[in-house]
Amino acid sequence: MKKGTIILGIIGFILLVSVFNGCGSYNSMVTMDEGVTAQWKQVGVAYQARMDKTKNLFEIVQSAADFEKSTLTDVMEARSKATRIQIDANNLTPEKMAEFEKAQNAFGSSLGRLMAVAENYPNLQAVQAFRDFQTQYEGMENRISTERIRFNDAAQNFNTYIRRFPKNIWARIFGFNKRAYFEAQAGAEDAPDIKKMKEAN
Amino acid sequence: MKKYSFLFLLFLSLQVFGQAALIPERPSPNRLVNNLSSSGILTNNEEEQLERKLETFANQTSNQIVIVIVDDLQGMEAFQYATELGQKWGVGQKDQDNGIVILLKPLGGPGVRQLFIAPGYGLQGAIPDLATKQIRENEMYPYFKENKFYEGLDKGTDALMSLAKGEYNSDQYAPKKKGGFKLWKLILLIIVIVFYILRNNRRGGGGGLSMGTGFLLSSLLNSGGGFGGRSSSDGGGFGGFGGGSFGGGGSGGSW
Repeated sequence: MKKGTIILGIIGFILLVSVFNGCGSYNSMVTMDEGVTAQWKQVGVAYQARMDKTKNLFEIVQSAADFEKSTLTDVMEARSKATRIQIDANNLTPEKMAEFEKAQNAFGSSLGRLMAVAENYPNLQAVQAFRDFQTQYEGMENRISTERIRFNDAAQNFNTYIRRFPKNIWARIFGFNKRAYFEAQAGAEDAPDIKKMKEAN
Repeated sequence: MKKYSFLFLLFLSLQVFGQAALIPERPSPNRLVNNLSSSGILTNNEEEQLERKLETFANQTSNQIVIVIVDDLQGMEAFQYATELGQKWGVGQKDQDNGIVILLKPLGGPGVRQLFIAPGYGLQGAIPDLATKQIRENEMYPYFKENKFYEGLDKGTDALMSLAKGEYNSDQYAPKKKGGFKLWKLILLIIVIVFYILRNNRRGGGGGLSMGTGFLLSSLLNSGGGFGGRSSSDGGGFGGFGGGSFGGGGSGGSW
């Protein structure tokens, strides 16, 4: 009888500890998961800012008459494609993220090409509005890169947390899944050209 | 087993040696002017003058402007270094994100020396990227070109202060009392002590505090930094960095 009580007590204690452990893990997972989602919104804001600010760019460039039409139409097409792909922060599947990223990168690198080509147009360089845009362009790209890195950091934190033993058991029970990452950016090599060009001036 | 623990250590060290690890630790006590460079572009007196000016501004408006002078950007781009440093040190207040980092790398020829001005999230409306460019080109570079770094930093911070002042000022900001002394704790403490003195007198002395009361007492004394407060040890002359965030805004270049 006495032995039975002790064993029951021990089992009860272990159960209690593991329930508390599970609650703590669950709460941490919710917090971290929400952190990843919140960071995604920041990423979205940075990308959206690039969309918004390039609206003016087309007018500025077109006003400087003789600019290469093909480069400009490339950017415009890539931009309108990227505008169409929006994703819900609460439904970030790897496939959707890849699709979003592909469209944004296509837009980003065509924009980078335009900014590089613009070096050869003194007319355009002379326009104050365009020089202002160059400064803003750097800021846009810097913000996007910062928020992307933070997103990957947040996602990595979360993924590491839920895959470590014994948290992985709780993660499976509560249905937490790995979050997707951003891939390394294709076409990122376009940005430094602009930097060098600016420094030379 | 040994093999795995090695792998685990490797994994840990990889995590630690991210880019943030290359950014210098925040100074203790916190300072707004941080000359980590061997270039000797500022005299001690000039550093102190800038420090006092920025401290006064931080105390009056809660906006924190930090000047960091380095020899080496650790292979990072200037924007990344400035952004990560602002984030890591927590320049500005937590809720307002109203910090500014002025990163200066004075050594090297044109194109190598760098200046970057990074406003925190909360000041990007008052100080857009373009404004940081104008301040660099109109207020700072003319002096930097003549190696007058103090004058350049002085004029640059003046311009930033006049823009930032419009966004956040002391009216909107109630300074947080870090680990501050709370009146209710003192009252509760006195009640507990009086209660014990009365009880012990009635009993005729003897008898220590019960475990529960001891716990209550110690938690009263410990929680929130007790009577001392953390801020005085780490905060510098302006109350310390408040935990502001940075998102890659601002602009930079060379002169």
